[in-house]
Amino acid sequence: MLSVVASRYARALSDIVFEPGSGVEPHAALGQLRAVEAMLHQSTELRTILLSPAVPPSKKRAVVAQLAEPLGLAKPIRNILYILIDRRRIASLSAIREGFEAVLDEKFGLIRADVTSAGELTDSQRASLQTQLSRLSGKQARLEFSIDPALVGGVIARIGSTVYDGSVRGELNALRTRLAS
Amino acid sequence: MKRSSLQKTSLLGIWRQCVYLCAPITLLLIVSGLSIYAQEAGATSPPIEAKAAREIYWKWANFALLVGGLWYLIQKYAPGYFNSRREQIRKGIDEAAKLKQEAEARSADMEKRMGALESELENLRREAHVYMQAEGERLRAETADHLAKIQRQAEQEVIALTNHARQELKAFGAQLAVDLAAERIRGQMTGEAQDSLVGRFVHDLEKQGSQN
Repeated sequence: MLSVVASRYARALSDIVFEPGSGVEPHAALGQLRAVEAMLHQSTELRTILLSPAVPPSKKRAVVAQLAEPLGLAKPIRNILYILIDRRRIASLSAIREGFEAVLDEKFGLIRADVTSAGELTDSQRASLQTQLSRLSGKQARLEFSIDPALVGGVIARIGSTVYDGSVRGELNALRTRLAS
Repeated sequence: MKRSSLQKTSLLGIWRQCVYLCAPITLLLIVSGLSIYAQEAGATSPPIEAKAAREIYWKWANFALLVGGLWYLIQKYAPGYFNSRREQIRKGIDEAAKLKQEAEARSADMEKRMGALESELENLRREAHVYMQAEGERLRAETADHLAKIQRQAEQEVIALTNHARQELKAFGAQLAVDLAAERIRGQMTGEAQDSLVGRFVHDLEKQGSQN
């Protein structure tokens, strides 16, 4: 569930990105946000610098400016990052990215489907899943894949609040309920 | 008995007062007699005899006057005094008799009460016995009720606990079975099995989509 603040920033970013002459494609903007988020997630030092209230915003800005070059960040993305630093909202970057994704899905008529499997899925399996989930939801499904060995085997797909459980864990849980009742 | 002793006491008082009144008179008479006798014994010489005879007459006259005066005083005041004293004594005797009667009445009343007290005590004892018996019965019935209630509660508790334990045991057994099954399936899970599961899931989704 996105916070009000995150959705507000996500909407503001989408407004900027969808403006004609923004200089960045919406999906490219999303990719850039993901890249920053991944880097923030991977680097403890970067996280400490950007999240610490002891580091002045000017230094944080300088760090982001240095990162912008190798990551190829477009101007609107840099600007939104500067705003987040100034307003001490950088910790909400993941939520803002999610909100931005939701806005993009809405704009392009997509629906997000989280697919969790016990092992890596093949391309054909992914394609089949996308086809079937799109058919079920009535919209073009955008699949987010993740792996969870606790499922033992099979797949779980979640669209909004609807869960389609085809995992061994799910069947075992159903069996346990039957046995215990 | 009491009355006679009271009468004795009052007579004794009267006698004592008479003695107190007559003693000085008697003493006076004795002293006068002695002096007269001394004067008579001392009169030996004949010239003095006539003088002494005259004096003795005078002394007897004095004595007669004194006795007469005393007699007059006694006659005048003694009856009144003795009458009033007798009245007082009678009054005292009457009061004493009255007091005695009252005391006897009170004593009789007390004895009567004591007699009634015995029966009252007996009544109280009987009532207390009856009350104690009733109370004992009530307590016995109440205790029996309590015991029955406690027994019912204990039985219900035992049933509930048994059910709960059975449920827990079933849940524990189910969890164990599922964990064991999960372990075994995990050990036998191959890529082909996973593909098969995914394929079946896709097929189920397809079936569900066609139903909608």
